[in-house]
Amino acid sequence: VPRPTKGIYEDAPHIIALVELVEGVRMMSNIVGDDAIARVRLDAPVQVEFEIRDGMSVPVFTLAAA
Amino acid sequence: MTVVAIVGAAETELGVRPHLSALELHADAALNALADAGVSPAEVDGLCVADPGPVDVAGYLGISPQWVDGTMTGGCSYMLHVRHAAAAISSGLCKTVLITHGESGRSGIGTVRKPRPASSLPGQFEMPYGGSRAPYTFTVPARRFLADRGMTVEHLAEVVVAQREWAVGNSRASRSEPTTVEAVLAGPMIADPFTRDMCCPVTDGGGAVVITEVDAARAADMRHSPVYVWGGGEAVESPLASQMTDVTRFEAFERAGAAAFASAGVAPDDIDHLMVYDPFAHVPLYGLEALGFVGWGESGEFVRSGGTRPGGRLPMNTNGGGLNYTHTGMYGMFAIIEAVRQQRGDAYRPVADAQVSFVLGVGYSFGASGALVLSRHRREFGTGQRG
Repeated sequence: VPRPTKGIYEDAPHIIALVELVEGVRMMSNIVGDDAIARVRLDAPVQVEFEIRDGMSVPVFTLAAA
Repeated sequence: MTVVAIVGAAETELGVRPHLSALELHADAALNALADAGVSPAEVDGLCVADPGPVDVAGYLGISPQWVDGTMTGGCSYMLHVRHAAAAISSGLCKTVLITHGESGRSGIGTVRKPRPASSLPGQFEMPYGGSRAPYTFTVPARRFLADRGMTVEHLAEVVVAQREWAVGNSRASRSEPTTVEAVLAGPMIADPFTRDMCCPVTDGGGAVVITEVDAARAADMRHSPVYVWGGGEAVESPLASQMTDVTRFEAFERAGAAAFASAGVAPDDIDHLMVYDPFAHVPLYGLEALGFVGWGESGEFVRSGGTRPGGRLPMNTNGGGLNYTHTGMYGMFAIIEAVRQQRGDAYRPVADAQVSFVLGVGYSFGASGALVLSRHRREFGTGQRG
């Protein structure tokens, strides 16, 4: 997504992802990290981390090492 | 045992129309549709309005309906309204139902874009990630759909090109110039995989239909041939893309579609004109497969090879669709009106010999669906029986 969401998530461009957790839950999140836009693929393994956004701690994901 | 038909259908001015508020668009649409039907406002005893609801529109029009429906399922609300109206008329709750749409989606006059509150499901589970608008939340499902079926972004562009053919030269259409796959793909990126022309334009406009019971004597007296409501279906799923049962199928399309086919007593082979609400270019591909017009994974090639274009086996989105004709925000009304025009034979680009139309709506991204079967031929509503 090339444009920011004002007041909530201002990084742009950014990656919106649907992440399937090993626990069986599917959730929307972002893939963050250097080169993520160049490297992201469907079915890429990811690792959770947490960011503070608009006062909330939200789970986001980085691409796991291949 | 009731035969119900759309006897009036009309639109307002379309495009960029800042001199008309949303409520004025409702009223203009209502008066145009009533005039089209030859029905006076005083005869209207039923009213369906999704937004801002039937109270505002009844008050503005100065009518006193004895039955109202404010069902709001986003852009497919009007498919549900037609189904509900046919059921209400069949039950004797009212006789003549007006369904109106008016939306100042482009100019924002009386139409307020309300962000979902932070406490809502999208506010909690999509907004924090930038999932603030349909083109963004649709991205991953569309990519997965293409990848699983061995399709590419060229197939999305083919949907735009095929539908544009229907709109070429129509001064009422927002996008009416011929285009090519290369031009669509070269357009500005809105959100991967969607370039600009794979996303609907945002416009101002309104439309309305009038529905009533039609006996054989009355049918002969109508200004236009009635378009009979054979059946319908409706289904809801989730407001969250992440909670779709399967992001590469829209299950609500399948459920609403199956109900519409069954209640009308028809199968895909009986349909010769299709409208699939297309806010974005992937949605018609989902619709073609969900309704069984093509097999799993065959939708892209079917569109690419001309199956839905003028002269194709299954003409689809014959006003150009939301992608080309107009998209006020809740486009469903315009898909219904185009089906009425095709069944009457007075569309801008008529389908040769269209006998039965199928109209499939989507609402709240992949949240809700409504489906209708409409035809120039008499048939009871919901029984599959000849009327």
